[in-house]
Amino acid sequence: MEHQNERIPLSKKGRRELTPFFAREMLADFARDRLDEERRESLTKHLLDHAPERAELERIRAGLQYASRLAKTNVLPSVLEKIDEPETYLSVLLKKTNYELWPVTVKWGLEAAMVLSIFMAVLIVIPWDRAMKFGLSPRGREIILAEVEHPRPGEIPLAVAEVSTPEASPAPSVVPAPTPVAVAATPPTKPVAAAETKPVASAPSAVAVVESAKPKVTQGMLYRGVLIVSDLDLGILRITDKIAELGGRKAGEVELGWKKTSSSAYYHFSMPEGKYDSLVKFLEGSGELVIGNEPHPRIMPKGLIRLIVTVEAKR
Amino acid sequence: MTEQDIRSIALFFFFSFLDEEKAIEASTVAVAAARERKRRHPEESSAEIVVRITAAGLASREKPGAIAPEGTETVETIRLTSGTGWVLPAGLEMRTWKEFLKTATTDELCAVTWSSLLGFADEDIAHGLDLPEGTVRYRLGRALAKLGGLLGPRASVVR
Repeated sequence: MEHQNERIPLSKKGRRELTPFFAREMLADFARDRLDEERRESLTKHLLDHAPERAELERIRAGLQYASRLAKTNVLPSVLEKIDEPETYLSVLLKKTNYELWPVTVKWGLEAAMVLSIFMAVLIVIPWDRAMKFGLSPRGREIILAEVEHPRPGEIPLAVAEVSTPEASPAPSVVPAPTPVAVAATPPTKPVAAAETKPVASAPSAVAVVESAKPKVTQGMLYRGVLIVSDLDLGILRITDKIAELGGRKAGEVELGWKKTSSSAYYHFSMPEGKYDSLVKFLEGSGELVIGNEPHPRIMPKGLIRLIVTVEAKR
Repeated sequence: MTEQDIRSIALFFFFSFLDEEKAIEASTVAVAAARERKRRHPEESSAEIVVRITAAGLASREKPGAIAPEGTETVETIRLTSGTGWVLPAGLEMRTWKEFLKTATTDELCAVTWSSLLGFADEDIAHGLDLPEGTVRYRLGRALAKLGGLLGPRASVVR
């Protein structure tokens, strides 16, 4: 003990005192009450005689007091949620570009441009023409399944199915007229002196719906005629009415009596076979008639015949 | 990461920048980094991770507290560039803290923030910085003395 006292000189009061350096180092812990009993007492005694350390302690205490008040700052949950939400590429992009600082008009313009771009892309990419063909428009997709002729008073109704076979058979194979059992009446051909009738095919001209045991008819018959009238307009009216009266209906795209040219009218129609004679008689009474028949791939239903008559004004 | 940890991170950056946008941006990055750190080092306490991540986040940014040049601000015009995300105690003037941000070093700022504002233990701060506790206490003492010295017989200004 005496040896130790020789090495470490004691203060005038006989105590081992704190130096200002160490005192300053302990002031913060002293202010926070973190010192042990011995050091606290030693520092307290030191402070009694050292004003600079006391001033420093006051400053530390003031700082602690201010910090304790500042520590009561609260953070709203909305901010915490904003911080905690996962970042997406879009959120990072918006942050980097300071999107929130952009003018409102620019934001609206950008959003409108995006909507318009999406709309245009949809318009361009989607094949609207195909979409329209998928049953949206019925035009062009009409299929004639059957033609049912409504009977006029006193007439025998003819209800048969029309077979529309526009393709031409390369080789006609018509059953000879005398042999079939159920044969429609052979439409007569009227020879006209002024005109040359079209030659009747060497093969039988009758078109018949044969029995199931007989070979199938693969070719029909078409009647072509030319009528020359003195008054074309009046003739058109009378002929159109007559055809309708006899049960005729248009068989093509154009209406009955379509004026092909200023001096000719066109009739493409079907009518009951039994009315053929009446029609011919009427036409002959209206002008000069040349009419004949010829084979045609289009097969008409049983009991119906098809005619193409051109009415021309007399020159 | 608990809500308290996220709150601590948010407050740290808010007190460092006094700018809500910067604080949110830095906090978002720090929270993600803290989660990753927690996943890799589950033995570390939340306080240690927050200290480590916030120190790194602050070091990667500009010096905090760089507000307007001295002399251009008046008591009446001082205001925080913050919205309504942070609610300061009523009647607390912020000019002292702003001046502290200007004069204190980053170490002193961090020490005061972690210890006095966020309430972290000296041991956790020391472990988070890989420093002795004595160093942490030393920095804290200087920081508190500097902060206290800025407080003076001036009028309290309510923000």
